[in-house]
Amino acid sequence: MAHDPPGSGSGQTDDLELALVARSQKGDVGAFNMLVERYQSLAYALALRMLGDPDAAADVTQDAFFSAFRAIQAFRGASFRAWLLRIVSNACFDVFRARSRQPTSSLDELLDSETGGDAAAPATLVDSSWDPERAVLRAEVIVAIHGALLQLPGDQRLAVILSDVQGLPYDEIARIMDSPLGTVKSRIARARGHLRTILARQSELFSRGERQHSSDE
Amino acid sequence: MGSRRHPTDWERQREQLSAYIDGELSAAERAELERHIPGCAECQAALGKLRRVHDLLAALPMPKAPRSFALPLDLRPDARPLAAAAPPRRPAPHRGGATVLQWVGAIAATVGMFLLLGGVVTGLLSSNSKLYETPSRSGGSTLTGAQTQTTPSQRTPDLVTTKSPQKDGATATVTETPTATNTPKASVTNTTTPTGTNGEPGFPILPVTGAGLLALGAGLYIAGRAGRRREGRASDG
Repeated sequence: MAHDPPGSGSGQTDDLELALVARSQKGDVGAFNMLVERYQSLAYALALRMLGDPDAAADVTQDAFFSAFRAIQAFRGASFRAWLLRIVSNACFDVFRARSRQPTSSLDELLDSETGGDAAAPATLVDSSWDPERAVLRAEVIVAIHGALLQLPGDQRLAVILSDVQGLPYDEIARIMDSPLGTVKSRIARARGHLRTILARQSELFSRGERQHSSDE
Repeated sequence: MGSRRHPTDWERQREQLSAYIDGELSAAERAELERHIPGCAECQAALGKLRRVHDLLAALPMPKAPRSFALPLDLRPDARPLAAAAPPRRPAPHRGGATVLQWVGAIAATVGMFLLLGGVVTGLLSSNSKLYETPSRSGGSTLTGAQTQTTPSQRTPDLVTTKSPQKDGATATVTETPTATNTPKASVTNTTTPTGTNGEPGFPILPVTGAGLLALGAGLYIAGRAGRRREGRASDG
């Protein structure tokens, strides 16, 4: 579901993107907007997972695209997607610093943003083939996962979101985070360990989910 | 957990298991792990937990962008972001009082405003008195206020004293007022107000208004420049 980010799988900029980047570098906003259209959901999703606040995520996303357009002359990399997501993640860390604390979020608000605020939405989060009990459970698990993500240190959160939520390969994550591959590997592993601990502490949702999951296997 | 089998490097073992899930191990590392896991209950359990978290995160729905983030087509590459685009990252406003330049600008603008108002009000009063006086100079009891300032040219010294506190422009007024005493009443009101022509005796509306306008403009400009410079410094810092 989340493992189909736009751009090529390796994150390498394809020919179309190269052409759009070249035109953007000449000041063609229309060409840049085609890149925006291609990546705006990915950028917004990263900001939302990082910040847990739909409004702040939208602001950060818009700001990141402005920054990207202003800095596009400097883009020489192999992956526009990695370059853009690095700008987005830097903007998220700027928000952390501005808040001077790790962000907390209204999980209800976050869930609303996921479901469009529809009271009957939990069922829409999952395949229609799922039974209602499981559909409700899924919505609750989603909220629990968001809550757990927001408790992670920023670098671990970013690494695990890029890896597990957005499905990016380690080398691209390393480019986005400007970190060695080994550091990325370590952050993802530690993030998963922390998430497991946090989720295990939260009611019995996770264990119920686990039981159901294992019964599926 | 794994203290016997992996006494010194459990963290590293977990990293290997985690990377194994993502297919990020080299062929040699993967082969080694796959040989090890079947005989190690701890690694099997750890692998299951890591995979569970991975699967949960991977199952999260991808939120859609709530709106288009396309940039305005007339945007220039060197343009600054829209104000609405960057509220979360605005640097904290620079604290402290206004700069000297801002004070100078503000004072100049205030003085200019007074002069300008003085000139305009005087002009208006003159024109009003003219309008109402011309048809019936004897009547107009309700316009006494206006009349006291404009019609009796002998009273211009009063007018000078009332206007002179208005700072520097007053110097010009003082020098000109004596001539006003010698001029006929009608000519004062008729010539000065409507056209604002110069050289006429009485309150020097045009110079005062002009000076006021100049001072106001200069003051606002100076204050504005100083303010922008401060903003620039704050955002750079």
